[in-house]
Amino acid sequence: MKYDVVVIGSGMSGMIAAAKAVSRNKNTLIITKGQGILPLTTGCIDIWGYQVNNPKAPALNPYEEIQRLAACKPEHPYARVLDVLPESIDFLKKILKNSGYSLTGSIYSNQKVLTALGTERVTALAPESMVVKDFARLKRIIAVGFNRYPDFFPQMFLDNLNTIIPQAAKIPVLIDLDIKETVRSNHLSLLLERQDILAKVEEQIRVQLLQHGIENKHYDDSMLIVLPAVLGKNPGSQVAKRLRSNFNTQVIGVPGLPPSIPGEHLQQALMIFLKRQGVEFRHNSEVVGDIRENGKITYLSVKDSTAIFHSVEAGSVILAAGSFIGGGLTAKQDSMLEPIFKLPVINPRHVGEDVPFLSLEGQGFLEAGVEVDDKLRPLKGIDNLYAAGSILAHGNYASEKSGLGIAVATGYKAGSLA
Amino acid sequence: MNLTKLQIDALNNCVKCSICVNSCPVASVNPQFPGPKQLGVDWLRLAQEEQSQPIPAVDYCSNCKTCEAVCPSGVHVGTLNQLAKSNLPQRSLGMREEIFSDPSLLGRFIHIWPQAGNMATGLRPVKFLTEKTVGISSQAPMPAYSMKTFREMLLKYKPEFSEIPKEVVYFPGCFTQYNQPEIGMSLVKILAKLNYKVIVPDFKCCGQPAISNARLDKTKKFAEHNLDILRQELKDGRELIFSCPSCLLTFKEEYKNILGLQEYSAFTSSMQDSGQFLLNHREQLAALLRMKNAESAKYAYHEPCHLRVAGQGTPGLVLLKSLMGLDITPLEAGCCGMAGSYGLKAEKEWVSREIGNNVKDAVTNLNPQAVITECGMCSVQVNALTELPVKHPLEVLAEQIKA
Repeated sequence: MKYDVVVIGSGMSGMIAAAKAVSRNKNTLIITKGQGILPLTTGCIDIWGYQVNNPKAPALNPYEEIQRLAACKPEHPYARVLDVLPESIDFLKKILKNSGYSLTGSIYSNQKVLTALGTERVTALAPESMVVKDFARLKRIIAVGFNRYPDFFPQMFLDNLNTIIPQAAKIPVLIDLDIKETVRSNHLSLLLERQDILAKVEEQIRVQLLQHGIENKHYDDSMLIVLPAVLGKNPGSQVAKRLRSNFNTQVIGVPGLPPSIPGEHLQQALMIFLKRQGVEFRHNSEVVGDIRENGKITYLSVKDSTAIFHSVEAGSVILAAGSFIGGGLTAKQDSMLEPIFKLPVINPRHVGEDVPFLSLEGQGFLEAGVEVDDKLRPLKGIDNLYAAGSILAHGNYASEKSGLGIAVATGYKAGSLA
Repeated sequence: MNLTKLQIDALNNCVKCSICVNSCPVASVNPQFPGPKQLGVDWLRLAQEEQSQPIPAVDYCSNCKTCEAVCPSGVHVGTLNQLAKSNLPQRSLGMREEIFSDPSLLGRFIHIWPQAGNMATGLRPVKFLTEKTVGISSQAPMPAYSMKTFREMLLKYKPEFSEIPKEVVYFPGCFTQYNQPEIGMSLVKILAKLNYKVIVPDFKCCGQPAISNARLDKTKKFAEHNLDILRQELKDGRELIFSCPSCLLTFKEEYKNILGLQEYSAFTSSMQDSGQFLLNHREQLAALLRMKNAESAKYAYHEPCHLRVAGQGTPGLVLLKSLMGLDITPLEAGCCGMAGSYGLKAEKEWVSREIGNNVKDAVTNLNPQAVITECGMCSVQVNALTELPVKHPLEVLAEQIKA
């Protein structure tokens, strides 16, 4: 059986590529080992974080910065996809909305979101459950922790928040749901779907706020209630909305250590969408090689959970296998390898360079990857192989805050061309 | 404890990202279960260094293997959990595990008088007693037993072949043999039309229930028996096909990964899901199908976890959707929670039911006439949760084959 498009990998770039391909009525298959690392993200879409001419200052308009970047660094993945950048972001927003995961924001301006440490960071698109309206107008901030939940400490969050939002009164609240064990995010997110538990949480918040002299009449838009990002089990969850309308205040959930629940929602939303659109998935399988004829890849060798090699006939192939965490790239002490097609891996910066761990310049190895032409093709002479996402060289998701933005734009373009 | 090189490599590949914990259906509903990473991978690592008992909570692992499907590093997380589980002190595993670890034993017993068996498992006093004495839940849905076994039906079935038929070996599994022989008969009838004679040797249970019930010694016995059969039967290019995803996964993966039986590797390339086998004959199959009905029944598809983990894709769904043109929507709601005998156990029934709520909600939202799934025990659970008929893709396909 022949597929028009075979996508390798089910992270952001692979799934967007498949979504675009299937929207063009291409018979599409995703082959994936593991599920992709979207759950390790915060559920926000970072596009570009810092100013190109002043890397210490946050970027105000990601699109303008990327245009500047493309002019001075034409090898950067963004420079290859400038033509589709805004429409790729709109495409992502549209399909996620379809699955109940609504993103706010745009490529033309960054917004500030809060972290679990009580610091602020910029991102382009954030789920509605993370967006704060107007930091400057906030009068009260209530940080809600849960007994035996180790990923959000209200007092630490509020202490750090003093430097960003000094004017607001800050009150920590601790909820006790009478659980004897350590509480994990996935369990908590499921519990909050239950009306009785949510009512209990609301009640405990109100009672503790009353002890601080905050009565029902004080509940309004200038009050912000901050919970850990455990607001519901599924992408279309209504927990945040329910809390907002019940309290009549702003309510957000902030993600802590990875994996995060919003990241998991992002993964689920895309996968449900694709499966319902008729994209076929082969989970727990990996592509281990290919057959080429006349400048085209014709067949992929696929290994399933054991060692069986299947042949999959492909019209075109999109390599979206990720970088080192996802397994699209592997590294030894002296070399880096792209294991499927044995594409040349280039490493623009010296591997062993001595950079402080949290340097603003970022770690050099993140820029390693495969190089592509303007049509995202990594191999000269092979017409139907495209590469997308973090496997591409020259991007640095950590120091640029560009990871999912690159994935969306390159995935979209690969899915349009394949 | 001693691990094989394969198992140690698996341990070392874990980068501790915790995606498996986040995705674990049991950990989501049960705070007493710390998740597959700690209980399997981390404990085994510790046990390499010093004498240590597994954490008792590992008994709550349902072996659905969602962790393996999501792991970005290719770690057999679920298998490692079962290894840890098999090191639990035996006192915590009793008669119930003995019964559940070999469904064919119970099948043969009830088959002496299936009506009585089905009636008895439905009676409240009996349910009450089995819960109190053996620990089998009185709330859980019990699979019904068929009046005739698959083997009995097969013996009576005499297809006429127009030419000398090709041969294919079929592993029916205990659920088809004792509970729902229609699945196997559907396959046999479809294959007869494709000019295949189906050979069903005297296999024993695949051993997956024994793995989940921490009876690896039994699995080993079954695996060795089944290996002998494969040596005799899988020659002259004959293939081995399965209608149950868990049996397929056990043959393909567990005999090697958990028991270390390397000889199975020689046969794994001849094993596949029956849906995939049929898809390989899609042109001939398409010619056998009756014209599509005008009625447009709406179906939902539940993907069994073990099918996903076996890396076969969803051939059953493809058959029904692209070949038959059925209106069928994937639920993509995760594990149903039954996990073989897991959901039948008194202390785990609530875990199983709560996991299943996701599937129940997804079905409610779609409002289909029936649900399609390959796994027998999934079908028992989904039927109990939704009260809808649940069918195997082969049964639906067989209904559309021309007489």
